[in-house]
This record gives sequence, C-alpha cells and structure tokens, in this order.
Amino acid sequence: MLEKHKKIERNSMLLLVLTVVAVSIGGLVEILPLFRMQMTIEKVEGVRPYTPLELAGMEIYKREGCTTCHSQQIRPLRDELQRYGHYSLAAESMYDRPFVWGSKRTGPDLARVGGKYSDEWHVAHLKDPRAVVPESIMPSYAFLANTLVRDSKITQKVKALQALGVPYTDEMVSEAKRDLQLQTLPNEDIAGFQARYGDKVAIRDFDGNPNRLTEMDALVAYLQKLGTDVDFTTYNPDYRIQKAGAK
Amino acid sequence: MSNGLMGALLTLTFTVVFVGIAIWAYWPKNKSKIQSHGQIPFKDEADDNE
Amino acid sequence: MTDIAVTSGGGSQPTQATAAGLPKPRYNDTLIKYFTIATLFWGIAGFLVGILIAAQMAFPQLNLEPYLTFGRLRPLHTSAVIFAFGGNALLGTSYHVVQRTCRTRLFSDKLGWFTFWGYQVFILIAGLGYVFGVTQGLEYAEPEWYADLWLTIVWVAYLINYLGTLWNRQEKHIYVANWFYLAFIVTIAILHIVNNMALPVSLTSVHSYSTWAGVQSAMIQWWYGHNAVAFFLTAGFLGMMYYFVPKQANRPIYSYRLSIIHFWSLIFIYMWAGPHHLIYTSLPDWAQTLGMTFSIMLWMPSWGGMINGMMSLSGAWHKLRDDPVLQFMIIALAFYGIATFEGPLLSIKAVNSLSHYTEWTVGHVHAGVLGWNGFITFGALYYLVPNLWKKKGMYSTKLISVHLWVATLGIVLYITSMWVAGIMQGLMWRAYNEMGFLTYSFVETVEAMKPYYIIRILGGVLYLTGALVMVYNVWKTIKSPQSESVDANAAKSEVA
Repeated sequence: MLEKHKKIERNSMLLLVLTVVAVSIGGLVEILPLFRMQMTIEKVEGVRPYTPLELAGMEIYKREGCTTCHSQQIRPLRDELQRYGHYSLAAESMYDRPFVWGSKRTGPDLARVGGKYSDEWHVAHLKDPRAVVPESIMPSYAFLANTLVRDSKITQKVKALQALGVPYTDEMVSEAKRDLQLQTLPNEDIAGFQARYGDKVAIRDFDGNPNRLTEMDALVAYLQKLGTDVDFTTYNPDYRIQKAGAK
Repeated sequence: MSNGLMGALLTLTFTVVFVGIAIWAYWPKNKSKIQSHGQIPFKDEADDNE
Repeated sequence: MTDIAVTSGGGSQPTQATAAGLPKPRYNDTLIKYFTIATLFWGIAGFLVGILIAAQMAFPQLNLEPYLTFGRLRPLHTSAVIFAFGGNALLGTSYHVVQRTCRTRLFSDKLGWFTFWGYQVFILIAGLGYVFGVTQGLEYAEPEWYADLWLTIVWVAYLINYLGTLWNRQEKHIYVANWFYLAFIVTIAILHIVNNMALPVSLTSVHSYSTWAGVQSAMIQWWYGHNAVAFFLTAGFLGMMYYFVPKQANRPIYSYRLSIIHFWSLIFIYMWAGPHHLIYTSLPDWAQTLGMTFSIMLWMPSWGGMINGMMSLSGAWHKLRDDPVLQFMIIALAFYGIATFEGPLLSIKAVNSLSHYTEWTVGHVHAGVLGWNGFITFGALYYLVPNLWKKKGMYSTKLISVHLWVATLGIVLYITSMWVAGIMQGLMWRAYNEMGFLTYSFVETVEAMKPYYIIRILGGVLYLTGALVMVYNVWKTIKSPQSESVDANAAKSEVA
C-alpha cells in the first residue's frame, strides 16, 4: 500500500486513470438512480408534451435567456406556496429538454404563470414592461410582435424530440406544421388538433393580431401553458408515501 | 447488484485507498523524500546556473 | 519566434538540485506569451460586459432589444470571464508550469498552437451565438452542439499535449501542480461531454434538444455546473497556486504531504456537491441530502489547500510586506477561504431556503471569481510577464499596488452589496404581516434592490479600472528597452 503511491506519482497514465475513477464515483451514485423513473418522477395525470406553437414559444424563452432571471421551480415553502401556488412536481418538467428551472429570481417564478394573467396583459407587458409595472426592470421585447414564427424546421424539431423519447405520435410529427398555425385559428377545423393534444389546449389568437403568426403568439401560448397541466384538486400528494408504505 | 450497494462499495474502496494514501504521505520515514518534491519548481533555474 | 529559455540570476533558492549533467531544456515561451495577452484581452472584455449587465439591472433602459438584452448578455459575461479569461489563464499557465516542472519542451508546438487558436475560435463562435440567440439555455453550458463538438476536439488536443509533455519529463516525480491541472483537463472533458449530450434538430440547424429531460437534466446540469466550479475554477487554479506561490515567494510549498491529501480529497468530495444547487426542488430528497453532506465535508480540503498556500510564507512574512504580487496571491487565497467557507454554509438546507434564487448566490460566486480566480491569475501574470519577455521586472511596482487596492475595494463593494441585497430579498419574500398575508408584492422586492445594484456597478467599475492599470503596466513592461536576463524575483527585491 505504502509503496503504491510512488507508482501513481511516477506514472502519468495511472494518475489519470485514478483521477477519473475518483471523480466518477460521486456522479454515478447521484445520477444513475435518477433514471429509474418510478422513484424519481411521481405519477400524475395530465402532463402532456408541448404543442408545436408552445414548443416554438419555449425556444424563444430559452433564446432570450428568460431563465437567467425567472425560475420555474416552486419550492415547498410556505411563502412560495402562497405566492406562486403548489410546489413543482418532477413530472411537470419531464418534457423539458433541457430543464428550465433556472437558478435566480430577479423576476418572479413562472412555473404556474399560465392562466394568471390575460393574453393582453402578457402582450402589453412584453412590449413595454414598465408601462404595466412601473418598477419592473425587465427588458422590453416589442420586436416579438413584429417577428414571424419561423416554422421551416418545426417538423424536424418534433421529430427529434420523438426520437429522444417524448411521446409524440407519428401523426403529431406529420401534422406539426399545420398544428403550429391551427392553435391561433379557432375558427378553422380544430377537431384533429384537439384530438392530438387534448381539449384543454388553449386555441386562440394570442398576440391580438389574428392575421399573423408572430413570436409573441408563440411565447404567450407557452407562458399560458405553464403549470396548467396538473389538476391539483385531484392530485394526491401522498402518492410516494403510500407507495413506500405498500412495499 | 443494486445501485445503492455498488455506490457503497465504491465509496468504501475509495475511502480505504484514501486512508492508505494519507498514511503513506504522513509516514515519518517518507517525510524528507516527499517534502523534497517541493523543490521541483526551482530546479529549472538551478540548471541554468550551471 | 523567441523560444529561448528564461534564464535566472536569482541563485539564492533553497534548492537541493544541482542536477548537473541533465540536458538544458528549451521551452516554448512564445505560446505562453500569446495566452497571456489573450487572458488580459478577454478579461477586459468580460469585465466590461459584466458592468453593462449590472447597469442594466439598475437602469433597464440600457437593454437594447433584440441583441443587447440582459438575457442574451449574461451568458456572454459568464462565458467571457470564466471560459475566455479563466480558460486562457489556465491553458497558458498549465503549458508554462508543465514545461518548467518537467524541464522539457512542450510535447508538440503544433498542438500547442492548435489549442490556442482553436480555443479562441470556440470563444468567438459561442459568444456570437448568444448575441444572436443561439443557446442551449444551460447555465455555463450555453454553446450549442456544433460549438461543443469543436471544443471537444480542441480539448482532446490539449490533453494529448499535456500528457505528452509529462511523458517527456526530465524529472522522476510529477510535481503536484500538474496533478491539479491534469485533473482539471480530464474532468472538464467528462463533464462537458455528458452534460452536452444532445440531438441536433438537423445537421443544418444550429439548435438541438438535450438527451436529458426534467429532473435528470437538472441533476446532470448541476453536477456539471458545480464541478465546472470545482475543476475549472478550483482545481485548475490550485495548480496555478501550487507553482506560482512558491516561485514568487521563492520558497517551496509549506507541506508537500498536505498537498497530496489536498488533491485526492478535493477531487473526490467535490463531485458529490452538485445537488446543493437543487435543494427543495423536485430532485429526490436523498440526492439533495447527499449533496448537502458532501458540500459541508468539502470545507476541510478547501481550507487545507488554503493553509498550505499561505503557510508557504511562514518564516518569510516580510516578503509579503514588500511584494504586491505576493499580496495578490495571498489575498486570492484569503478569498478562496471565504468562498469555500460560505459555500458549505449556503448548502445547509435552512440557509439555502433563504439564499437560493437571491443575489446572495451572485455575491458568493463573485467572492470566488473576483477574489480567488481573478487575483491568483493577476499574481501569476505579474510573475510571468517579466519572465516571458525577459525584463528585470514589471514596469512599475507601484502600479501593481494600485491595481491591488483598487480591485480589492471593488470586490468589497461588490460582495457586501450583494450580501445585503440577497439577504434582504430572501427575507422580504418570506415576510408575513400580522394578518397572515405576504407583506411584499414581488415587485416591491425588485424595487428594494436598486441601491445595491448601483453599488455593485461601482464595485465592477473599480475592478475593471484595476485591470486596465494592469494592462498599461504590462504594455509598458513589454515595450521597455531593459532586457537583462534577470529573474523577476531578484528584480523585485531591488525595487523594494
């Protein structure tokens, strides 16, 4: 044993290998078990993959670095439950690739912002935050209302997510381009769209301009979806405890 | 073997190795040799002085 | 190309090595010069963007949509200071240290130049991407898949070059600084590859989706994120410390035995600490608890390293009084001590419930990066510049002192304002009135931050000012006609 270390310090490859072993243990122990889903992600009803429009909105959310100032992760602390609502469940972010929990709250948490404000409020606020909230320090994003959603890759995007294991059906992939438009066109034939994504999905013009599909439409559609999947009147928070007891 | 058990074994192994390294490093007989490695940064200058 | 070994007149080292008969090595110093200049350049750029985004938080009108908003510039700032400033400092010093302590030339000059230019290209394509909205949205891992692939290639070349130099060494023992550098190189490679696993939307698309989703994505990201701190900002810079502190002080490290313990305990324990970024989140409790426990354990090896560095001056404390470069290094170690004490504190669940999501975290990070990483880098560069350009010493020792104190004042303003702001923010969020309602609306807590954001800008401006003084000093040193081959240490004692 005592003589061993001499070898380590003389042999760069041995040093390298032992370093790799030493640094790997922590990660293996902490990360691998998380892939056994049933103990990591609670079973809840209602969490669905993003519609193509919401997906486009989430990309804008990431692109603009919204995560640098807004978290999407409510902790089980009294004030947070009161301010933001039910604490976040692992299941609610299971289709986020990567996750967007954030690490800083320069602005408020957005995990349950969906449905809290009207579309008009969001549009006005994004265009000029201080016109709505004078003390806000958020940048303005007026250009979103003038920027059309670029949809050329939306089919490939849904397909890539399907390949990674998000439960998009083949039909969702083939209809992605049409569905992207449909979500803002409530007067069109939306039966197929609703069949694919459920009838809870908001189908309306989001940015106040029904003639164009803008990035404002996409971002507001995404924000209005956040935290609305799970019906907490029927959610049983003791699921994990019960499961442990039944073992 | 379960993940937990494997983790425990790996951790135990590493702890034993680490304690071994610590004992070796602080073994009185090894002191002067190990401490002399601290001179390595000054050796390239010594060369030039020749 | 002036690849001539730095010669030395400072013959008073307590060295045992007369080492006669060994071939006289010639080092590749030109490459190190390039890295030195790149470090300074990206440092100034990164500090500037930092001041801009700090100003945007106090004065939101400074956001210019769509390209220059806080959300797009914040990754530009973090990448510029961590990966561009810190990265160039690490690559440059590691190439310097490995050559000197192995007393052999770099394994391959070509690979060396490839890593230099390849790394600058990576910085440019990553940074331009953020401004134009190309990002993975992962903190400290924002570059998209094509930039990640490119960095992987550059990094493998770096690893080969480093290992190759170790293989060619003229010294039996591998000096401990190289262990830290090697651990930094190989662990960053592992972290980078695992965290950035992603499927590009198509080969012509700049976008990708992560292989990891939700909780797994969060855990892997913070395993990456925290260990970017551990291995990029700690292990790598400790490598720097273990070489440049002894060189500048002209004394060997206090305890070489302690450095061995320091190394193994640090690299092992650090890798467990990631989940402390996810306390009270949807991450399973057992993982949060592991993260917290190991974070607290981490305090010991961290302070072991700090003490080892500081005690190298024992018996020669007078050197500290006269030498501002040594002062930079020792203050760096002090900030390392502060940050590594505060870190375990913040990972305790009860403290974290207050501090998480607030400015306290930002203050904590900056105590580490401005104080520890910045100052140890400045110290190493002040040592390197006269050595590489073969001058008696820096152009002005006084200006080094000016840099030191202006920058220290800047850090103090920065971290105290963020401590106060963060704790106040956390307390306001959880404040209740006598009716049992939340006392403050969210926006009231935003408003309360403004004075502290302004103080923070001032801190940043001072830090940048110090760095600009350094650039001037370095410039004058390089341009100065004096070119006697005198060791920097000897020159310094003359000045003092």
